[in-house]
Amino acid sequence: MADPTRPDLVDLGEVRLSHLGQFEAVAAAFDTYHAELYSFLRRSTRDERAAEDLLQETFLRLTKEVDAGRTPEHLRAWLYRVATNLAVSRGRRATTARAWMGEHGREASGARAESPEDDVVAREGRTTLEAAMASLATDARTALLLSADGFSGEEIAAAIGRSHAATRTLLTRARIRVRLALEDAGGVG
Amino acid sequence: MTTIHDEFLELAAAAIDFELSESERIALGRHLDECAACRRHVIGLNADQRAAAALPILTLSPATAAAIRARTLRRQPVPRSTLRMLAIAAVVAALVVGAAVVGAQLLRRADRDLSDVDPTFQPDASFGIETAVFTPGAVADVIVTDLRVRTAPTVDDSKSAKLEPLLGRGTQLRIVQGPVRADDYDWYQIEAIGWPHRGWVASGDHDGSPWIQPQGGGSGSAKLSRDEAALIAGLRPDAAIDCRPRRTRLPARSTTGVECHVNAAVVTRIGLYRFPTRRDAAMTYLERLDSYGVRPRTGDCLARTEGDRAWEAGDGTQGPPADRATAAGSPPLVTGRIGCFHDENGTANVRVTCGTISVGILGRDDDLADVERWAMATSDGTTTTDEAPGICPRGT
Repeated sequence: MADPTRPDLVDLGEVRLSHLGQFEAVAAAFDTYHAELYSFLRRSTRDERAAEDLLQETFLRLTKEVDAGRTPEHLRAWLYRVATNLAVSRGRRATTARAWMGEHGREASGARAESPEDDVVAREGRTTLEAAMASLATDARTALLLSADGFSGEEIAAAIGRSHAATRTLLTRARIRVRLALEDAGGVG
Repeated sequence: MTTIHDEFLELAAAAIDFELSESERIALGRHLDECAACRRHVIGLNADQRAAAALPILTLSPATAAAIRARTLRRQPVPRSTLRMLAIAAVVAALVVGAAVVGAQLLRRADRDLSDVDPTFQPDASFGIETAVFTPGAVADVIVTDLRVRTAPTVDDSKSAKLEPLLGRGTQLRIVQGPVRADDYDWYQIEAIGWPHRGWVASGDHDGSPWIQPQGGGSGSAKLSRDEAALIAGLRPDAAIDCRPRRTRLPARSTTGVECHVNAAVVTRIGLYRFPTRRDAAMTYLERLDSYGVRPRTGDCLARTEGDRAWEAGDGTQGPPADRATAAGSPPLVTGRIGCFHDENGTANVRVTCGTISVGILGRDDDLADVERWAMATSDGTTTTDEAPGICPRGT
């Protein structure tokens, strides 16, 4: 799928990577998509190091696919789908870890235990929109980012592994929550 | 409670990513034709989508990109991230700290002595600006596992006995009095609902982490500093709804801010801001109106025209400098004023100055007159135009 907002990018979705050698195919994919994928993963995970890890994992999986002769037909969509799965899975693990820390760490010590992600938000001083999006759960935030990157509702549903109806509900609630947060932050001063 | 407007707002949000059915499209179009507020929300939803699409690319350093590229092409996974290692270290550290604290608590409990309590103990009543404020009669929830109740507001065992048992998470407390400041804690005398306890609890840790919180985070009991609570102390009851501190992006010159989520038929939200002087409040007010093209002594809000007027006497005449504000091209202006404008969303806004307090009022739609009348109304429902607006807190 071509991205009309990014004319600088070459869309490999219509190119048969198998026409290239395996090394060249993955290298071309990396050179074309790593920048936007990294940005997507940074915002999705809100964690610089995690984004780097997941970016590498995404392209390692592409390497395996190409090696196995299963070169993705629509490369950009495939890469986003893999990156989304990795980011959402990481988000679920982080939620579980925070819950565990809440039961066994923070309450026992009585100390404030903010998540690394919260810390990142505070340090980066992100924009109001990004702050509103940062307050969403990882899957909701990721779905919004995919939409912002030009993917349709159906493609987002496929990427996050939810039904059409569940994805519609997820995205709708996320959009309204962001809107209300932005209106709330607008101030009456 | 979901309203019909909420349902159509959800439909409008869904339309950004999904094809609506024909019946959905028709129903949405009809509703938007009749609902100006909904149209503004939809405009906002679409603007959010455009803004999200225009977020700048977050860039990877060329060196890191090159390293990942090389590792990918060599199929050599990156070493486990330092973040993951730090997370493991944090868990271990938390367990160590937790064990130490629990151990210390056990030691303190074992050392409990009820016999040596000084009944004349008087705590320091000073009060930190960030300390939570609960009003007498308010109901709070315990949000930590074990909360200690003492017979006096101090951790000094020679002056205060510890009561047993500790109160568990979710226990409801009724605030009797407080806060008082002692031993670097803010203390409240409480009654534990369903328990025999009547004593003193600290409302949070030294670092501000709360141990009790307003029940449900509900109206009238949000975590406010004393200065913030004072801002709304004399506020009209129908406006003092769900008030929360505002500590960032305060208006110029202001020192304290509170926003109340009124959510009434005419008004959605109000903000109250304290200034060092009444002149400061008036100058910020005038600048705010000027930023929307509204000049002093123009227009008529009750006639639905953006404008400004004085609600106190003497406007346009000389007076003590402290009681006069200035604007280019205008005569001396009294500091008690009320004005209105439409913001960038087309929503009616009214601003009022009441001594050293300024009140901002955000309407529900574009009707300036409705919002001005709401601002002017007194608590008994009457409206005047030549006295302090009813929205001004009593005593200002």
